[in-house]
Amino acid sequence: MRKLLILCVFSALVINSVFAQEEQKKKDDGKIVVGNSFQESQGLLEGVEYSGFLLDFKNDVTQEQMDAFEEKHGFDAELIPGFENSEKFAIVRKFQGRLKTWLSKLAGKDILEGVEPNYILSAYDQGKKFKDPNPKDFKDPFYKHQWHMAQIRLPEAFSHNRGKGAVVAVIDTGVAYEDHGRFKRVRDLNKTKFVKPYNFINNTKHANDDHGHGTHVAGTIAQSTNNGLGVVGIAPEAKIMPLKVLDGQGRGGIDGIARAIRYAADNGAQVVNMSLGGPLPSRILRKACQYASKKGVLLVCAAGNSGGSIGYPAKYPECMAVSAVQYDETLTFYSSRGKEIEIAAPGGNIRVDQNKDGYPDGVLQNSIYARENHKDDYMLFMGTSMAAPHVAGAAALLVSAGVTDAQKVRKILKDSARKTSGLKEHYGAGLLDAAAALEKVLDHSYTRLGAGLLLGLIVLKSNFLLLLHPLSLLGMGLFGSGFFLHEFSSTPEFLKIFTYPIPEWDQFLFGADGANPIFRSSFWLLFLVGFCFQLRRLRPFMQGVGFGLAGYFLVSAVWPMADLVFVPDQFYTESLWYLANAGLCAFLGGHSMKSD
Amino acid sequence: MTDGKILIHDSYSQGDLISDELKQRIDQYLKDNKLNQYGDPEGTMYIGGTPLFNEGSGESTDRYEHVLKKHPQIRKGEE
Repeated sequence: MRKLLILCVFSALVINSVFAQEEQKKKDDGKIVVGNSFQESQGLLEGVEYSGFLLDFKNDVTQEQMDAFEEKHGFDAELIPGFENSEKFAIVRKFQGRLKTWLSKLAGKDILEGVEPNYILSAYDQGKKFKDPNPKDFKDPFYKHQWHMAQIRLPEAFSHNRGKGAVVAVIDTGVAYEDHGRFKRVRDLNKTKFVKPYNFINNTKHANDDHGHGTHVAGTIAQSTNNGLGVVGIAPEAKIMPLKVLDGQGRGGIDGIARAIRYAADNGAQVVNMSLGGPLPSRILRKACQYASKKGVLLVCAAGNSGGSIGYPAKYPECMAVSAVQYDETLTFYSSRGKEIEIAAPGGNIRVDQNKDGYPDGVLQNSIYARENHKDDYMLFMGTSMAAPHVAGAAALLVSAGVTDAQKVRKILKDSARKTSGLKEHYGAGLLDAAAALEKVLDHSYTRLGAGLLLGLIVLKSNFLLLLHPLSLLGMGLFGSGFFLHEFSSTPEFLKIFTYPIPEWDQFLFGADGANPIFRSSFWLLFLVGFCFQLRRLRPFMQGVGFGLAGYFLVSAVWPMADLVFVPDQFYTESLWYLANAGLCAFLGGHSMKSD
Repeated sequence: MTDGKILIHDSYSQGDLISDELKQRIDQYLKDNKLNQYGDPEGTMYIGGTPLFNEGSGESTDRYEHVLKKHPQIRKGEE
């Protein structure tokens, strides 16, 4: 007996040690965490969502008896209309005490024929218009649980652009972006770049996160991707500007937020994400939004989680208010709604597992534990706070693709959104589609090439075939449409610049803060004329450059996607600038072969 | 009809029933003390726009319960 006891204890120790090692291994790789209080409480009726309880009273029960019964057991029941002639069904939405106790009190009562949860039914698969995540799309092992990235068609967008050159300010609880004191950089932001952090709570340059919210938001925008760790972000090559305005409780004053908005605008952010808000308007906050908007910054704001009206600053016209949808592409129960909603994006719902991947359908990113800020894991959150950074990330992709005018970015995001049959107050222009947004920009490569060829046909007439000279086509490609019309995921880094026409190379040299009017002018052609007009063999190249640039400027005049710095954006001055340059380039292109 | 595996929150219905009289007292207290509807100073901003919704846990809190938790003296009738 003693031997048996020793054997049992020994076995238990061995088994415990194996599990402990396994747990430690899991810990090292990072694990997916659902908010603790939710995790602790789930499981009572796991697998079923309900809204209150349905009571089936006996048909001969009087109203007085029902009222007395409700009072005795501490609940309010409403009779469900439509059954009065045959049944007495009532719904209970709220009651006193704990659920199990309350249900046990009702069990076996003569007055009742039955009690059952009011199950919520849905046919979610009917509306879904995206493919579930394919683990092969990214090297990040938990990507398969990021249905929200598939919903905005990130894999398709990723082959075009990854956000290089864009700066996104995250005005939030801070970001776990550095090892500083008790704070640690989270593992899956290891390749992400950060610029000009600032802490508006204690006025230091260390915007460390002591809550977890801001790190999660920053991860959606620019989580390090294809690094073999955890999860993916939308624009991993964009830079994040961490600005801490909310404390460890997730609260902060308007003054700090207003200062942060102005700071972002003054320090090179093209996009600002604000997954925060309040119920009351503020003159100071509004002025800060106007200031940033005038400086060409796109302000993306969470609509709010009240399920009711939209909060501030999302309600201001300078801001892009984002509502939240869940896996089945319907509006979430918590999302605020109203006429100010401009677009919907995935915010998740951790009360459901509609995609049956074994985890609640939250938005999954790497973040820190609220109580142990130095520890991080992969957290499932839900909220319009999670929806907004999907839009901010997609905006960063557009900025990187050359659309530096904030209002153009806003328009493209809305124009490319997937239309829904739902209310405009719920979905705005529709569901965010990052790939469609980028495709709207990239389509211009062909349009520019076509415009260049058309101008060549008009100017050269019977000599049009001269444009098909290899050097001429090279000039058109390099200066008009980009030498490569598409960027593929396999395109080497050093070749990516050739997917942009040379007038847009300013963003590689000077960042994406606005278009340089010299780069986007006939300067290139004048330079070539001066430099190599005597070199007869290069004249076809000059001709191609002329018509390529002419096509580029013509399309830019109609669809000016970048703000020209130093050129006022009034009275169509930018369009006139492009048209004048298009005319000059077409003229020079047409005359470059004439002396032959 | 329901294909999704759906999880449920235990504390969904635990809230105390708050009388209309107490609700009126809460609203009056907020007004008298120049607090916002959540019992914080006016101008306070929150993650996700409201303190009543926990984005990590999925829990929702009743506004009056939230205010009473922050200002328990209202229940006792204290100013």
